[in-house]
Amino acid sequence: MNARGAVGQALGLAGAACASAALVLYVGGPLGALAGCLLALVLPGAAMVTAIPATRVLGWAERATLSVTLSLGTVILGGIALHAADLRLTTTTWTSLCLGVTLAGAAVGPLAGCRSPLAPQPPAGELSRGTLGAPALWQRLTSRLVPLAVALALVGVAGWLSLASARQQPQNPFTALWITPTSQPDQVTVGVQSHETRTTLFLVRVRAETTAAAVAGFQMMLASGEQWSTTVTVPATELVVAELYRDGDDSTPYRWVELSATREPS
Amino acid sequence: MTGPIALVRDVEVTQPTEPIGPAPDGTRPAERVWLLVRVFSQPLGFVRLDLPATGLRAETIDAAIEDAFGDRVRALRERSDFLATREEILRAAPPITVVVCTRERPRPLRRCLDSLLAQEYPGYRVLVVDNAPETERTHAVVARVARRATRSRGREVSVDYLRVEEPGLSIARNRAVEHVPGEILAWIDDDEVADCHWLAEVARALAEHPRADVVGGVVIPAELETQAQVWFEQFGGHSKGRGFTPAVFSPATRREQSPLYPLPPFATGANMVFRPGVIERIGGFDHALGAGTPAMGSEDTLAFTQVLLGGGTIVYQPTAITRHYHRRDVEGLHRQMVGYGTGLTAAYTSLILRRPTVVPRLLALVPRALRTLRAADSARVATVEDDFPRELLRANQRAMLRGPTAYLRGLARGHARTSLGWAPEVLILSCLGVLMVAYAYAAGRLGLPVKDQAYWAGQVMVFVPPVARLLSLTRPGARTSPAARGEPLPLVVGLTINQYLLKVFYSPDQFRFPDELQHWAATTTLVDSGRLFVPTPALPVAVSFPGLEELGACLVSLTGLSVTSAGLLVAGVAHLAFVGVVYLTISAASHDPALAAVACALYSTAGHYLFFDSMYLYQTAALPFLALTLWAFGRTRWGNRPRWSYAALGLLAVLVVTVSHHITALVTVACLLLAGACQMVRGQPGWRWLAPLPGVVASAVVVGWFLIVSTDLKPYLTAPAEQLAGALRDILRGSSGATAPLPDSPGWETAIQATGLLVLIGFLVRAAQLLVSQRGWPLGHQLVLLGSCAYFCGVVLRFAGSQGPELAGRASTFTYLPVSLLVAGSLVGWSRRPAARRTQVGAIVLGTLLATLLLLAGRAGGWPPHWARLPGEYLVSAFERSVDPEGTAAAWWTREHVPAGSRVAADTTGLTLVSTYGGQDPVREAGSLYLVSEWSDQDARLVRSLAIDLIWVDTRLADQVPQSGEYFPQDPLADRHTSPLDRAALVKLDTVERVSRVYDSGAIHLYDVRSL
Repeated sequence: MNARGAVGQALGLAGAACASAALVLYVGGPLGALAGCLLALVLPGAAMVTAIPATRVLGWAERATLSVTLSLGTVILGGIALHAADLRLTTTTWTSLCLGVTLAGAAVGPLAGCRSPLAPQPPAGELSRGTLGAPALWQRLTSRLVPLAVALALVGVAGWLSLASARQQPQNPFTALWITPTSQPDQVTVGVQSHETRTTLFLVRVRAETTAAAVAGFQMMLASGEQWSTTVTVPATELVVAELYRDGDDSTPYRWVELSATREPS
Repeated sequence: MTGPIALVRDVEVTQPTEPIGPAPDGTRPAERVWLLVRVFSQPLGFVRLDLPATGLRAETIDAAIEDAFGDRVRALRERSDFLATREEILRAAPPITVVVCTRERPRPLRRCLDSLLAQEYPGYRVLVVDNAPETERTHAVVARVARRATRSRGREVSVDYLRVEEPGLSIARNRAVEHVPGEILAWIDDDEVADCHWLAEVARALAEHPRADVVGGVVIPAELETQAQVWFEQFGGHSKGRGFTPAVFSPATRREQSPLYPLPPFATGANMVFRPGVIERIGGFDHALGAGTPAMGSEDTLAFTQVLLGGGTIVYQPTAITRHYHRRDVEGLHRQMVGYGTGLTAAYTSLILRRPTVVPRLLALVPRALRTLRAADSARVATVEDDFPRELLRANQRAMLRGPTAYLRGLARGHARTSLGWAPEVLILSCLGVLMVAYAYAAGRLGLPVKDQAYWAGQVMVFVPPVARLLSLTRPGARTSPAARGEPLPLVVGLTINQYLLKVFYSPDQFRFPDELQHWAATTTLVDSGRLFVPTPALPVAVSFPGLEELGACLVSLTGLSVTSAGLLVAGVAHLAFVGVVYLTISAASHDPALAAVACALYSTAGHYLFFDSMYLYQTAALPFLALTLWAFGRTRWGNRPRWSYAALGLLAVLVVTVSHHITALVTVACLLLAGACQMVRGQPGWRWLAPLPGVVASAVVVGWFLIVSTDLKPYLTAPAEQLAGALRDILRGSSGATAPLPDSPGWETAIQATGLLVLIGFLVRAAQLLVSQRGWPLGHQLVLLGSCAYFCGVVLRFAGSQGPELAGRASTFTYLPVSLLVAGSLVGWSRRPAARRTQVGAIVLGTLLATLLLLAGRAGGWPPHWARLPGEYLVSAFERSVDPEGTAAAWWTREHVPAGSRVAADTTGLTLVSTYGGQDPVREAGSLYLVSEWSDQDARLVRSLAIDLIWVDTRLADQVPQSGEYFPQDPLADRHTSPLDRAALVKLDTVERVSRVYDSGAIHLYDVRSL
């Protein structure tokens, strides 16, 4: 690459880094996520590859591999440097780190290229090798994009199958009942979280050990994933038992929990 | 008849005519004579005469010329300015480059070059394109002729040589165009000779027709000694019967001569000249046409048609003469006729594909074409005599039917020759394997049929196509193709991605493997706190190696992805980078991309490769930098003048690996020290005293980090090491209790693992034999063999104690690399042996089969174990298969309702969940609490001594024996459980005073024991 090309490449990298940083900080969403990936995983390494004289003579495969690897290295060592500077690792500092390294690499790149005796300079005006006789545009598109699209489609279907089956995987339905002390010795928190397959009618009875009668009773309908909790006033010095019944069966507890009289506040 | 059929002679009518005498032995010299009549060197045409045994007198010849061209000869003799204008043109002659494309025909080439050196033209250049050479003979001829040209004509003529490795006339032509851009290119075949005025007449045409894009000259026979050569001329020869009348083809002459039919009346590739930029304008010669392709020809025909369709002008200049040595035998003529037929329709196919808009015009010409094919007086067959074999015409017409398919096959071959070659198509097959494995996973979750079959078939499908293709690229004939250079890396990258997807699709919605969950928790802590080195209870030692968590947190911060999604992305990218840099390292060391790619593909057969090496673990972040260290320091060239920028890159990589993973850092140091020591002993003199420097510096960096930052590393590493050493000691003493039990895998899996191991041992023994027999083995080979031995030592570790299998698996991440290289070297060596094509194919098939065997052995013996190979219903103590919604919900509950950092006792799965999702401090030493059905004071003392706050009880432990052999991290009955735990032992806490059952989800109970 000649000096003009190196400057163009550096400007391209710097522009891409600035645009990515702006998208990350001010736009977000899918576009910001894409820009974030570029900023964290590609651009710093790509800029370093242009800045290190020895790597400028490498082929595209080596440069691509090194770009990703050096980007990972930048994040790892840069993160420690930020920590050493007593900076918190937030979106802003990470963005600044990646942007700064990319801009620095892009700035050094053309200078390193001018100094490097290793950078080959092909004769001006020479055509790139192997461009003549290449297939027409539609043939190139067909031969490259169609296989890529088919491969992506296959992988996409595989991913969908995997995700869908993971979500539909039959699980044993369950419901959790819990009891926790509060800062008040005569109060406890009782909660229910349903993971049943359908909306279910629950009954919670809270009682003290010495009294058969319930201190409190609650009925609730919970869909799968829904949670219910409440604070109940109970005798401060007694074992408190909470029982959960479901679907109208109020004889056999579905779940039960208890809190001993010597409970410690959470 | 053994003598020539006809003599071919020039007759310059301005000179006295020479008679043609009998042969020296008095016999008839030939049956006929073809006389090219020329006036002041301007050709008028052929006069054909029978040649009697006594020869032809001058008067007879003159009379025949008078009969044929009398008026024109007289007219030209009286007022011809032909020579004067030529002189004028030569005074302003443009520089011309004559291109001769050739392949292993040194004698005809020398004859051709001799004729070119004899050109009466000032200042030209000859470029010989040596296409796919098998020997150096062409180069030698060109070198000799170039020396002669310098001696005889000084700077007036230069003869240059261009080597083009890719076979095919069109490719050779295009490379020539690229080699000499901006020049007038005159093309001549190597089986021709040029008339000494050829270039001068070309220059005349260019001068007289300034708008001409192409000039076509006439090609006449150099000899007509055999019947086949005469028949070829009867068929129209190269100039297709156009004769010696000049013509101009341009948009203005479309009505007289369609640019689309009949083809090709314009010019011929054996004698054509293009102005600068014209070939570039039409996109060059079609690589799927021409000699060396299934179409066999017509690259020139298509080029002329494209020039005309593009509004260009072609000038037919019959004064520019070249002479062609036609094929002497009928077989050769038959091949040529077939080539003409195939090439013609192949060119039309190409034209239609390139310019679909010509289809209506072509359809309109079809009736005329059919009439011409059937007519006996068409231009092609009008001059055919009775003795012309009709089979040749039929072969020509049959070949026309094959043209389209031949063109498509040529396209496919050209496709294979492009930089990516067949990689995209091969990877489609591999992706099909991904789909099959995804189905197997789904079938495991949903209870669908043929899940195991789909899994194994998918694994093979993912792996075999890329490996078979990579091995095929190592064939001797394929090594020089662009695909051999450009295809390996995409195949390796594609294979790596596809195999990583197999891991992702196993659990796409959340991390389930304990170590991944631990790093998930550490990353979550970093994201929440924004601080490094914040202690996390799940894996305390990882705090001082924050590389992976930094990557994950950075991506979470910049993209807004969840920690799980960012983690999957980071692990995938790091894994890909690792394989990529390994490829670069081997490629740089061996200068053999195909070998590097095969080694990388074989590395993927390691037992831990599929899951463990690409999990969201700190080792995954460190591995690329281990490889980068070796790559960079390998390129620093110790022993020569060091390249310090590579050394700096290597040091950077050492820093990254040091802060990312302890074991990988130690391996890095070991590799650098070993390589440095070897280079110092056996390297080149010079700077070699610097060779140990990387290892020394890396040691200092790593030890410094361990001493200053990672102070809790020593107990973390020494505990398993001591355990392992104890187990090894016991094995050596003959104690059977120290050996790990053999896995209860299906019989065929055990058999295939054993076979795979035997195959690897076979490769190792063979390599060792070679090393012993060939004392001059390079240092690198010896290191590979040494590293391979380390792998087999690791295999022995597998049988040492309960930790043995896991440690052996983890060691294989490093030790399987040299094994892969060793096996790859052998497989590539087989396919590269010079042998018949069938044998080469056999070597590729055998190599693929062995690689597949290693894959199956690796998958059968690697991670996940057979009981967790597919996702499915909950299993007890089965790592990934034990993470279910009920356990996860309980862990999340502790995060919300229990103070962070509470000490929680649990089984292995419970500890993982509660220390990660729950953020609690896991107590690993409390297994005995679950084993006895009665609660005792000893249990209470244990609870108090371990400061346990909460006891996690999963009553499902009473349903199954542990799949992994242990219910708890420190299980006193590890690998000896023959029945599930006693249910009474699990629910005994219900009746213990001052113990509160604070959480009940059915299977999982949490007990608050702080009051004990």
